[in-house]
Amino acid sequence: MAVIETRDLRKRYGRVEALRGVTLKVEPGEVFGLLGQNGAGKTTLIKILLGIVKFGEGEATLFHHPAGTADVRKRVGYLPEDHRFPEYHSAYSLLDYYGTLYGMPKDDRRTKIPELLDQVGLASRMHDKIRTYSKGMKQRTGVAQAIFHDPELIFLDEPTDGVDPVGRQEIREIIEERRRKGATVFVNSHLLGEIEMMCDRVAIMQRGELIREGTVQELTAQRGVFILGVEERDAFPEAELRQMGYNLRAVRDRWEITLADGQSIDPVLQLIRDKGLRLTHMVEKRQTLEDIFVSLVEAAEPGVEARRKKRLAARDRDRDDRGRGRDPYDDRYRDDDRRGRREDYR
Amino acid sequence: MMTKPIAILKDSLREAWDSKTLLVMLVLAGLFLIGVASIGYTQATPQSVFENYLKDLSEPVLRLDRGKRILPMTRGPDGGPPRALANYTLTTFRAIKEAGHYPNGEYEFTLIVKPFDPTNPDGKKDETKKDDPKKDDPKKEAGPEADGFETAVALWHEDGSGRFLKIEGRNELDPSKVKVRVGAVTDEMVRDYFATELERHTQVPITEFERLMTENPKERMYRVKTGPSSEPRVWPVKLSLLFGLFQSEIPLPLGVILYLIQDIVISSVGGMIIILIAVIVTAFFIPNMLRPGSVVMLLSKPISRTTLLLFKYFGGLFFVLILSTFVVGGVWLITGIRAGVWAPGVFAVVPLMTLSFAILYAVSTLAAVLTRNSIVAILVTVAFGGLLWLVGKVESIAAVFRYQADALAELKKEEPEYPTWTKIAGGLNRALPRWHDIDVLTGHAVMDSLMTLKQQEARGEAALEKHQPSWGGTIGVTAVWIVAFLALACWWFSVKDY
Repeated sequence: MAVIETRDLRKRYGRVEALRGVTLKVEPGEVFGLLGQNGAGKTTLIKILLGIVKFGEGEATLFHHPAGTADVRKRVGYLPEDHRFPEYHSAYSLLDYYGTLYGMPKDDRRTKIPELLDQVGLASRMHDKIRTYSKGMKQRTGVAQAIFHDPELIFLDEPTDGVDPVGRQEIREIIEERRRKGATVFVNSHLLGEIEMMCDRVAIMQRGELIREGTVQELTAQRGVFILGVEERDAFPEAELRQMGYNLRAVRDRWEITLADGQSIDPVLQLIRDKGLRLTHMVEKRQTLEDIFVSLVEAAEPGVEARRKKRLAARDRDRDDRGRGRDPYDDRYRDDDRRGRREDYR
Repeated sequence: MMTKPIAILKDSLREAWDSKTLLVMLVLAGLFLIGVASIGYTQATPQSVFENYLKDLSEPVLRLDRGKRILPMTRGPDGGPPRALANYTLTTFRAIKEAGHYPNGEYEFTLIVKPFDPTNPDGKKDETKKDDPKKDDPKKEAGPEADGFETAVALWHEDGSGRFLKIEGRNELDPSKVKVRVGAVTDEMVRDYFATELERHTQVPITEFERLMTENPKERMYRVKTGPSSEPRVWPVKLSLLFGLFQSEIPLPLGVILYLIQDIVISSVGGMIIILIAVIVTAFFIPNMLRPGSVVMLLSKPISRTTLLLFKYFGGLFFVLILSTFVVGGVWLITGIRAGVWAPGVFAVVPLMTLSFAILYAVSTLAAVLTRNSIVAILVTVAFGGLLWLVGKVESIAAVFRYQADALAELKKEEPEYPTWTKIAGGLNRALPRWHDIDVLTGHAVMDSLMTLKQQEARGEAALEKHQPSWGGTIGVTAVWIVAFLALACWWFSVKDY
């Protein structure tokens, strides 16, 4: 039984078509990520599901009930993007207020508020006014209020926005904990790495339409491209492999082999063993979610990829100038590199 | 069930408290209450009270219908500028029975009546004519034409039956055209006139009343004995301000002073200040709630938009309710302790002031929901309040015109004729939220609590009673407007995407 289900959902803002027939299903216990450029319709979709925005055509249900009703909202937690809390509240009083609106008993609120604020790292400041909080602290408050009433479904719109790396890690842990407790989590984020780390399933939205949907594994797998490294780099049997019909290229001290249709990596490994070489590195190359995202967006909106490449080239030139060249295939730099690209994208 | 709405109310209060405005207002109100507490009330001496009573009777006004209807003079008895029909002075005074609480004592005094004399309107010449025996006889009927005093007494007894008066002309009560029948004013009528007016002014009864011989044929002299009274609100007092730093020499009835403090200072001026500040402070509540990052937080909660908006609105009313309760309750407590007058009726000011604000805040709420802008909400509200104030002012002037026309028509057994503009003012006042009428009703609620009926008659207020707006109409029409504004605001808030 799907927790979220939409069918051919449409929404117009005047002449702008914000949603163009979105059909989506999110199953219980999933952490579902929705990706998309600014203005793609991600936030509109969440707001429709919560009844904050009225939809034009189609169907939208939460827990098999019409989306947006007060009864349904009681089972949902929400952290909006660019939220603004009443600054006359402290984190404690805010949670107390929102907890009352969710119908939580007073004793429950008193017990849970300090525990939860401790969990999000705000225990020492919980009675201070929100106006004195940093952006990261406000974001932690936002996460806390979204999960305070133990909702079955949690919508998080850019949950790690403005949060430092440690805070991001903590938020990821909180999401994981909620998932373990059986909650369904729906995450909107620009931080593709975060989505990749947190989500079971991902959908990509472009101009009000879902253009791709699947598990992270499904989306990022790139069949037939392997990176190999041997201890004796110069002895790598490049010529024999080319003769065997393999397409390969040197990438610093490793080799990238792209299999043609019907080819297998096994003969390559066999040849390396026969030659008595020691294999030090072998991975099947995967695409990052960002690669997928950008290529899909490029397909839907030509020009995006060109602009991205231009930015990456400019960045690489800048790095070279500063003598900071790195091996892009070195796993140690993988996360860092991806983050850099994400920042470029943003 | 009510926990969610109460939480929204508490949130509004927290917002007001956080802005420090409520605190500042409470501190200012506290200072004002200290000022009220600094007022001392000293009972005026009996002689000064009786002198003042006669001085009041000497005012150039026309008292009709046993003094229940007081009209300003448009002309004097000779057709000139307005002048009193008679002047009254106190000559001798003594206490028959002393009392620590003056109203409980018994007193005797003589008073001299000098009717208006057209040949000596300022009363400077000595018109004594000792050789006219006819004038010396107090029991003799008045001359062929009644003098000013007789006219005053006859007017006072005139209840619209035309027994004493014949009035000429239209739309004004001109004493020079009032004809009193010769011999119609008896000593009993004179006693009734003095006794009733004295009771109004002091709540002291006349126990003996006797006309004395006088040497001046144009004067009358009466000996009056009074009995005890225990009504604390009526006996005049002298005020001292700032714990005795300033002393007032003019005695005024305690009830009138308390009424002036409560109605003029608190209900009118203080109320206007409270409402104006509340309009400004509360105008931020709803636009703040509707800011893009804030409204989605609330709309995602399991509460209907209508409940959210309505209780945010009630939160604004709560602000005024707290302030007005603090001020009115404080004044009630202080005047009770200081003056011994415990008048629970003054608490009517609290809901009525809140109702006055409720109209404006409904407009503010609608403007805020439509524009999400506090400044626009303030400007629209102030403009609407200004319109209501203007209509109310014009209506209050029109009410006096209508009242006078009614009084005259009643005396002349004719249908009253009102100027067209008074009809327009009345129509507008009836159709729009009854801001002015709430003010009038507030004043009356306070007056009923602080002044006796006879005191109100002495001020001409009792006769206005039947011209007062009705409670049902005032609250009903106002409530319809409030509901209409809020319904529109709720509808817009419910259908809008955020």
